Formats: sequence, structure tokens, C-alpha cells
Amino acid sequence: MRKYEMVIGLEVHVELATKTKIFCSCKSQFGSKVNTNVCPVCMGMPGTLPVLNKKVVEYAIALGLATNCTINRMNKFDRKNYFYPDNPQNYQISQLYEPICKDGFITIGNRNSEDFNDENSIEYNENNCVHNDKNNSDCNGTGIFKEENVHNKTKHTIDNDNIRTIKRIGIHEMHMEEDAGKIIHDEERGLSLIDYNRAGVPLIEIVTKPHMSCAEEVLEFLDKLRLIIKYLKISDCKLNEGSMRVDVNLSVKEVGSEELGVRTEMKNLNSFKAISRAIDHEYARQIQLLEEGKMVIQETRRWDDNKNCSYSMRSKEDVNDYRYFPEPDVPGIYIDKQWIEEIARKQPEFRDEKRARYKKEYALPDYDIDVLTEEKNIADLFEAILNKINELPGTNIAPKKVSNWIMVDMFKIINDRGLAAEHISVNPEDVSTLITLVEDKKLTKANGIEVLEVIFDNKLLDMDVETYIKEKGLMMVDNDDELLAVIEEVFANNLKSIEDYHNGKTKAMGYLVGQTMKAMKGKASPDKVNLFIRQKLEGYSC
Amino acid sequence: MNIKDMTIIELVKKIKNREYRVYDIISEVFNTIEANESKYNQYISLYKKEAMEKARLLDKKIENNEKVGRLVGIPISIKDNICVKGMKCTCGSRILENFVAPYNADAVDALLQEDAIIIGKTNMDEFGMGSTTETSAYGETRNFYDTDRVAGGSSGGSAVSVAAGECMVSLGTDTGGSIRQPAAYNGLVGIKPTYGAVSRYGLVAYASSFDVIGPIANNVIDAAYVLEIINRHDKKDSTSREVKLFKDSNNQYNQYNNSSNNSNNSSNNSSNNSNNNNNNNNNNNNNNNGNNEIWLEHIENISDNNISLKGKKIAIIDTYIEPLSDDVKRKMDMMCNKLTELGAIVENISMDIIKYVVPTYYTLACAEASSNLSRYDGVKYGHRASKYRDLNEMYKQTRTEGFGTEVKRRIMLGNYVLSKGYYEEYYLKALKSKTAIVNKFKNVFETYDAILSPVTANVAPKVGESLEKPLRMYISDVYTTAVNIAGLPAIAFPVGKSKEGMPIGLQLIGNHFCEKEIIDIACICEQNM
Repeated sequence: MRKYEMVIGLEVHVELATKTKIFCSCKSQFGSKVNTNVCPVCMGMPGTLPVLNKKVVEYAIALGLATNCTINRMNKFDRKNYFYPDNPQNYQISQLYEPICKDGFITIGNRNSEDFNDENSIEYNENNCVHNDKNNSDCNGTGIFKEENVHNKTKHTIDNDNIRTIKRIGIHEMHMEEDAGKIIHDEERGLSLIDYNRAGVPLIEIVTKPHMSCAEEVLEFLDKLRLIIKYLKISDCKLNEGSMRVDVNLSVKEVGSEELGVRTEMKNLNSFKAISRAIDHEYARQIQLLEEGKMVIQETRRWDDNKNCSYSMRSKEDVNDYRYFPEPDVPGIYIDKQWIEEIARKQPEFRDEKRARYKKEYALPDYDIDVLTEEKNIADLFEAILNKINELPGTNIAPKKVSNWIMVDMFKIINDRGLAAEHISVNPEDVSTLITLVEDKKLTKANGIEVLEVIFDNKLLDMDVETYIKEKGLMMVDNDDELLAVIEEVFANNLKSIEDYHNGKTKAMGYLVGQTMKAMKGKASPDKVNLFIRQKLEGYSC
Repeated sequence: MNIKDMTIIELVKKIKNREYRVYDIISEVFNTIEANESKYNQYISLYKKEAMEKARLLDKKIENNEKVGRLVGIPISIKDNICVKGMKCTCGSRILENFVAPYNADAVDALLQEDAIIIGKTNMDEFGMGSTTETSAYGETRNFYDTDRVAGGSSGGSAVSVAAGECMVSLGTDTGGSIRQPAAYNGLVGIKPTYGAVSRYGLVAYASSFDVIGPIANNVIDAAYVLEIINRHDKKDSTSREVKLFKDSNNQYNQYNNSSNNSNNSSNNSSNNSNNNNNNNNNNNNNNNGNNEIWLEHIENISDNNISLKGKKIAIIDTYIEPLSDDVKRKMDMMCNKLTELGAIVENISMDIIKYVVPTYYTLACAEASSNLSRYDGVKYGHRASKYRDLNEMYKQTRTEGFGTEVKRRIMLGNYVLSKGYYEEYYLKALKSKTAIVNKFKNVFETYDAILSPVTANVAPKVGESLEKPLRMYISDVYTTAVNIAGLPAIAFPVGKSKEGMPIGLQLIGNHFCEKEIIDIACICEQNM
């Protein structure tokens, strides 16, 4: 059998988390009662006109800057004409001729190369790509966002004894457009109903260059893109809710061949797993066709993740002529340099930068860094707690300790409560006080975790953490006499355990420690309890 | 009492002074409408009950000495492609037969805020596509001066409703001459404002780049008075501009005034303006009054013949392909002489680019129309076919039944010029031609204050003549469409009658947002007729 390789490009639609829709002031939120977030404008009533939501432009610029794109200073909208009932005007306002962002890239493979299957990292050169864009270093003369012309080249670097495959996935362009409504088929009544709540929700479509060559690369690219978007807080990027939608353009060619194969477009990919399965399946399907001497047809296919197969939706022949033309109702918008600079100033520190800094500044293990930076608010919380602790005089708590509190204890609470880490907000000051108290051995870890839950559930009853702990009498007892008296009592009530211990059942000591801790209501230092009990047991002979 | 004998300003004064009751005026209007029966077929829907109710309400307000607006009790009609909340908005089409607008157009809001009374919605060519009001699904509108002739179009119903004394002003729309041409055919004044001077929100789009709302009235002052009210910036229309047409500073009015006898008034007016603004802001929510009073004063100056046309440069385009009829030609010559007499400098200019105007207009207008009209699909509102097997058939059947021949023709033309392979050849070429036309006009206005031009080559044609020859109808738009392509303001005003007694109108075209300039000249011409 001949050896084949994949050429993959993506079209990613991201629903923006603006408060209102792109061309009217209806709410753009997900999950409202059907046809409640609608008005004459987004219903396409006669005589209505679109008015552009400036926030959409701002978000698009922010995403463009974060992905190394050139920002198109003169922006225009175009009409894409097609008939479909979920499309109230039967045209979509989009950008064809002057998209807001062009020629960017996202770097993948610059971390965790051990997760990366090297066999899949095919050496690329510029001639491999379908839309070979020779001009991708042209910055439209703005000169602010210069990029090197190294798209699509694989670089090997040696770092930490790992050979890492660094690859730039080119972004062809990004544009702003409006979403359509949703058709709900009522099988029982044989009706098709339309919910226009989503009509006019702002979208950014990201079109990559065909620079990916395996499912892993696609997933890594998407994960990076998703995190950039989430760090910017411009979308929640949920594939299952449709706030991120991925279409995969895939073709195969013989290894080493300059000539590209015929590509198909795969739709209806509702999870990262589905994307991965669909890519592998389509790769195999196309190879099988070629091996059987058949042709791959240029078509749009729909993925059925339950049946693990795809089927043809429409072929090239019945592709629409969208009759694009400049949108006359939305005047061109000029993006001045100051606006771009202002947005650039407000950009957050992104995950890759954070990762490098955490490693350098906090010397955290890669795993910790990954977990902490997965959600921006968690990373922010981590840094805020650390800062609060460092503000306190005389404390010296290692970042790793703080990381453990978050990664282990806090995430347990998050998971127990079925919450999403991205929506967590707790007062970093409370948590830093709590951690300091535990680390200073003024509070047992067990009690500390309980208090953490209280902080989480917002049940501090308007007290600060320290007052709360004192009020509840949770502070560790520093009085040895009290502890010894309690141990005395425990021993007196558990003579059988003492006997067991001396008969070689060392586990019995644990029981005694437990009883003591219980009697102390957890306020005793476990170290001390252990020490005193051991001493007493050793000196206690029958 | 005949409302045709008064200006709006006079009638408003009489109503405010309680010389007339609004109720009587509106009753009289409906008496006239009923007496005319369906002689002209100028209305698609009438709202007598609502109008009478509003009249009573306004009379009560006046009785109680409450503040009333600048159009208090003035009967107006609205072209049926402009949305009025709760009223039908058919656009002269079967496809919107039962469509009731859920909101007001901004221009309608502006009139209602000044206490105007809407009498009804007027007949029009379907979606504005036609020059005779014969393509309406509700029958053609007949000319006020000769019912064997067409009213003109597409705002034919609007023009006739004013001519017949059934309202004092009508809001029409002008995409390629649809205000000016029916105004000229019915002996009226029609203003096509600068693109962006009046909000398009609520105007059902035909060709978005050219559509504009404007007034049709009995005289220049009435039309200008209403234009001043509907000219306002609207956040709901991104193409609407923040230019107050009648504000002192924004055009040559100052210069104009300085060159006339009352040069001292100019500075006084400016200070009055700001004072008035301050006062009025405290007393009511109407910011326009300050400008308005300046405007009224200015109008009175014109009436007193205080302003001459000395030094005005007026251009005549001598390169129209459509030959003028003798009648219109005579009126053009007469007007040139009159303008010269009044002190203006009238010069012929050649404008070869005029020959591209009609093809450019129809290419661009149809392209936009094909897209604008795609929303009428039977899914959300309006007509839906009763028999269909699937979605595509529903679309096809609905649109086949709902649209008339002319609309279908333009949709097909529009789709053709936008389709793959033809876009560059037709649409882009037309866009380039549009830019060339815009630049040519820019050039002309560097030297001239206004352009005087015919509105049509001839008087209103007989009913039925135009429908058989669509291309002939398109070419007849040559005098009007250039103005829309360039987004310029123009005012059509009557200059007399033909041998058969049919009205003839001419138009003055001005530079962007220089409505006041052409209104002044038209006003002087009107008074010297």
C-alpha cells in the first residue's frame, strides 16, 4: 500500500459573549425561552436596518492580535445571499472582501511534546499547502504587527532533553458575521418550528491554512485557540452548546507528493473526541477510495458520532452561488491605530506566557502549571493568593503548597459540587489567610479543608476567615495539659485497644489517635497527638 | 375651508388660535376623500376612526392650553412602503397584503411627535419598482389633472392625495425619481433629500444605497417645513448623518444672506438661534425650534422678495439622451430666462457621463433589490402559498403568487448581475461608473450652486402606455436617477402647464446637504411664476 498523509484546514465559528446581538440590542444569551430575544431587526422585518455592535469589532481585534494577525484597518461588510428559514432576511451579513483579520498563526507543539506522536509530525515545507500564500508577511503597510514568514515550517528545538516539534498553524483570515436562528423539527406534529433567539448573535469565523496533518495537531490547535478566546473572555467556546463550531477540511495525498488531493468538508462535530474520530475516519475513507482506484468527491459531509460514520450532505455541483455584494446598510468602519493600541494594552497574559513565567518564577511542575492555567480565573486566583501571602510579613509558603491547595483541595470541592472551574470566584484574601493558618500549624489541614468549603459556599457569615475560625473554636489547642487529660480519658475508655497494640496490632494506635482527635474536635495538632500517644503506649505496660 | 388654500404654517397658526378645530379639518378631509370615491385610487388603506380620535384629542389639548406640536392637526398621508405602527404596510404588493407594521419609521415618529394626523397609506408601484403607479397590486393611481393619465410613480398615490386636497403633505420615497416625477406630473413640489439626511429606518428597502424619504406638498414652503422636521440623525440607521439642513452654519446660507440686502440680520440670527435653543430646551423636548424660527424668518424674507439670485451660478446639462418634448423645452427656456432676470448666471455644461446613468442605476438598484426582497419568503409574515409539497416549493409558489411582473423582472436582473462570472462584468463596472458619476457632480458643484434640469421629458403618459415597454419606462428615468446615484438633494417644483393642460415640473439639484440652497432658489422661482 502506498503511504499517505493528511492535509487539514479548519473553519471555526465562535459565538461571541457580547451582551447584545451584532446588529440590534436584543440579548444574545444562550438558553432563553424560544423567540424571546428577538426584535423587528433580527427577525428581518421589512424596513429595519442593522446597526453594528462596536464590541464585536473590539473582540475581533483582540482575537486577531492574540493570534498574530494583521488587523485590516478599513472594514466592510458583505451580504451572503441564500434561502433558509432560520435566516430571517435570507441573507447573512458577513465579511468576504475585507475581513477584519488576516495572516496570523498559532504555534503548537511548544509544550508537552511527550504527548505528541512524532510519527504524525510530518516535515512540512511551504509548497505543501493548498492556499500557498506567498504574501503572508505583508502587513498591509501598517507596520505594527510584523510577522516572520515561517508559517507552516517545522522547527525542532531541544529543551529539557525533549525533542519538541514546534509548528506554526497559519490563520488565513478571521471575519465577523451574524448567526442564524435554529430550526426545531417537531416530529410528532410534523412541523418545523423556528427559534430566532440565535439569529444575529455575533460570530467570528476563523479560517486556518491547511497546515495540520493529524487529529492530534488539530486538537492541539483548537485547544490553544479555545484557551486564547477564553482568556480574552470573548466566548465560552462550548462545542456541545454550539458556541464553538468546527468544520474540518481534509484531503489526503501520497507522502512526498506535491499535488494535493480532493478535499471534503466535515460538519456536525460536537466534541473534541468527535473531531478526532471524524478525522481518522475520513482519512481512512479517502485512502480506501484511492486504493480502490476511485475518486474522492469534493463535498460537504455530516458526521454522525453515534454511528461513527459520515454521510454526504451536498456535493460541489449543488453548491450555492452566494451572490456576495457590499452590504449597503452598514457603512465601512475605519479602525484607527489608537483603538488597536488601546485593545493591545488591555490584552491579558496568555497561557503560553503564563506557563513560561510559572516555570521560571514559581518553579512549578509542568503538570501543576497545566492545571492552574487551564482556566484564566483559576490562574488569576492562584496568583492573587500567592500575592496576598507574600504581602504578609514573615511568611514563606512555597508556590507549590498554594498550587496543591488549589489543584487538590479546591478542585475536589469544585468537583463535589459539580461546578465548572471557569465560573469559580472566591476571595483570594480569605484563602490566603486560611492557607497561612494551616501552614503555620494554627489550624489542622482537616479543619482547613472544612473552612475552605465554607469560603466556597459563601457561609462565612460576614466574618473574616480568622474570626470565623476563632468563633467556631477551630484554632488548634496549644495547651499540652488539656491534650494529655483527653488522652488519659481515651486510654481509660479503650483498654482493649491498648492490649491489642501490645499484642502487635499496631493499627490500634491509629484508632486511639482518631478517638483523641475526635474528642479534641480536630483542634489538636496531629503531630502532637501522635507523639503523646506513642510515648504513653511505649511507657504503658500491662 | 379648503386646506389647499393655506400653507401648513398658516393652518397650524389658525388651529393654535382656535380659529379652526382639528376635528372639522379632518372631517372635511374625509368628506373630500369620500366625494372623490375611487376616482384616483390613491389610497391603499385609510384610517378614519384613528384620525378622528386623534383630532378630538388634539382639540382637547388646545382647549386646555397644553403644548402642541408644529404640525398640530395637519392631515398627512404616508406612502405604503413606510412603516406606521399598527397600520398595514403592503408596499403595493400582494406578498405583504396583510402585513401590519409593528413599529414606526423614524420619519413617521418625527411627524407624530409634532402632532400630525395620518389619514392613510398611499398607493405606489410595487416596492417602488415603476414610474407610473401601475405596477401596484392594488390597481393604478390616476393623474389628478386627467384620470386617463398615470399619476406617475412610484409615489403616485402620495402625489395625488396632496393634489386632491385630501392631505397637506405626504411622505413619499425616492429611489430613482419616485418623489420628484409624480410631484411634477401632478403640479406639486417634491423634495428628494440628500442620502443620509432623513432616516431610512422603517422605509421598506428597494435599493438601500439610493432609497430616501421626502415630502410631497402643495408648495415649496410646506415641503421645506416638513423636511426640516423629518431631517434628524437616527441611531437606528447607520447611514443617517448628523447634519441639520436648516442650521445656519452648514451651507452657504450665511454667504447668501450676506450678499443680499440684510447682511446685518445674519449675525443677529445666529445669536437668536442659540438663545432660542436654550429656552426651548428648558420648556419642551423639541430641540429644533430654534432652527425652525430662523428658518421661518428666512422664509418670510423670501416672501418679502428680500433675497435676489444675484451672483448665483446655475448649470444646465445639455447632454441628455432623451429628447425633451416641446412643452418641457419651452418651460426650461422660460425658467433659464427667469433665473437670469433674477440675477443668476445660467450656463450650459456638458456631462457625457449622463449616458451611463440609467444602466448604472438599474444594475445597482436591481442587485440590491434582489437581496432586499429575498426576506419575503412566506416563512415569517406576509403571503404564504396554500399548496406546496416541500420548502423549496413553498418559497417558489409564495413568491410566484406574491410578486408582480416588474418586481420579478428586477429580482432576476439583480440576481443575474450578482452571480458568479457576471459580478465583475456588471456589478463592479456599475460601481465604478457610480464613482465616476459622483465625482462628476462634485466637479460641477465646485463651480455651480445648483443644476436646473427637467424632471421628465414629457407630461404624464396615458394609462397603459408604459407597461408594455419596460425599457422605455427605464429610460424615462434619465433625468431623475443621476441624483440618486450621487446621493444629492433635488427639489421638483411646478412651472406651468402643457398645451393639454398637464402640469410640468422642473428640478433644482444641489450639492450634498445643501437643501436650503435649492429650496431658496425654488421658493424665489415659485413666487415669480
